[in-house]
Amino acid sequence: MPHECTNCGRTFADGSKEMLSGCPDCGGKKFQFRPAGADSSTDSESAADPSTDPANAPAGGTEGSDASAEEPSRPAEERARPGEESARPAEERAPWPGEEATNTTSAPDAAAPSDAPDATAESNTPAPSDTTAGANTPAPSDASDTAGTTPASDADPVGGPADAETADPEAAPSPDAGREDASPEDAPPETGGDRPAEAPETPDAVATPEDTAQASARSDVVSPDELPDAAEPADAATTEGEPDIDALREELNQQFESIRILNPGQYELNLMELYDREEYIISLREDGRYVIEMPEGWGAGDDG
Amino acid sequence: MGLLTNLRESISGLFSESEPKRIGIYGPPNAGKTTLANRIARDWTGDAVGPESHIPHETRRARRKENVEIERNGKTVTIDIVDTPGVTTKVDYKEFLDHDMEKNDAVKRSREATEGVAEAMHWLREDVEGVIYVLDSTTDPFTQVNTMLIGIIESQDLPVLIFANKTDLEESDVKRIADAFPQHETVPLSALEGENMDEVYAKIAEYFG
Repeated sequence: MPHECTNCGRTFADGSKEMLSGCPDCGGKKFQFRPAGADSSTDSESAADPSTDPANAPAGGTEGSDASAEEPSRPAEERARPGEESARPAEERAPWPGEEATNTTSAPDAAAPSDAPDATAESNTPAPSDTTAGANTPAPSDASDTAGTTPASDADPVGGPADAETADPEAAPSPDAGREDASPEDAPPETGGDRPAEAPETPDAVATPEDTAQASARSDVVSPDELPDAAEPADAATTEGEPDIDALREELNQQFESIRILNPGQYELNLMELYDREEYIISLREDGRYVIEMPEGWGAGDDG
Repeated sequence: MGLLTNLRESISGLFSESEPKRIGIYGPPNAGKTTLANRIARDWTGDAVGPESHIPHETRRARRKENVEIERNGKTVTIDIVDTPGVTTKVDYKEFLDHDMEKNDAVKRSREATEGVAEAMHWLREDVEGVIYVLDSTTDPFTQVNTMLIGIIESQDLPVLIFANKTDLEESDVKRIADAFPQHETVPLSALEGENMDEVYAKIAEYFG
């Protein structure tokens, strides 16, 4: 059940297309991805924030630059590949940033930014100390969708989730961080330094529910606290990534589309697809929706 | 069901009257499908099937004229004529703007035409027992749509007649159509002018009787 609706908790098998148009049960559009290996609590939340990274990075850089400097570098290497990243939460995140910034203290932050795309980024920033990063990392990667791959990676590497939890305590400058996890090994060292600085910020975020935190994370810089909190909720996992869904939808369209709406009043038709389908489209709408007639209905009305 | 069907067919045979076959009139837009359907319907029932127009996609819903009895050489063939929207792979409202149509109307017509194509393809799959494939003999028959549709029809093992319409026009080239689909019988005609309709009805009786 890698995918779970964050609203009602309904789960979806990996590769399921049911949720492409929202949760069938509650209509929710936020989903959480849980790699097979990952534990629920651990990490996932961080994932939610991918967007934030960029923002975070800057912030993080300032804050934790010191500690992170070294670590970042590592991450960079590892992170190079998404899958790998997941393995080590804290470090990995750093990588991107690290690659560039390895040098500077900012590295930690930098990493976050880079990660951000994935969502992991946030975690990094906070993570350093908190481990959240670690935890997040895994999740983030998953969330992004790569899902399949990432999960595995998470498990292996540092054991991302698990480690994270334990580790952080140290880093934990912030209380929250501690509980969440944090990958001990990696995270602690790095984060430790960084977090403190960030921690201050977090408080605010912390207050907010997980969802909120996630939301904010995306658009804003991640605060240390937020990350931890988020992590707990497991929101991180959420693959909110609408981009991902859009990409999947586009892929499905290419596979199954019988009528492509280029623009209002402009259509391309796949005759073979139209012919092969049992149901047929009887009403088009410009928003891409359509009404279909199923065979039974067709037969019934037809002969009259 | 099989027994009942056989029984009904046997009885029909006794009365020299067979169950009407649904004959779909297919082809690209503006080939003259509705003009042909109206010609056949008027000749044998006195009623028309639907409005004709020089503007493409005038027919946007399949229309049926049932129980059209065609007598030929002492034999009576009863068919249901299904006039279908022109089949195409692209529908663009802009092509209607050239016909003094407002954009909103053109967009609406485009959408309906697209729905009509979907419907026509569905009928071809589910509801048609024979096909009259109408082509404008003044245009190139080697098109993706023609090739695809003829291929589908052949895959269904449906009896098919190819009508090379608009022979009243100078540019008409019936041979080009016959050469394009040599595996099928091509019948030249002008549905508009009523040219060669005797042969048309003879072939209908022969193929769909």
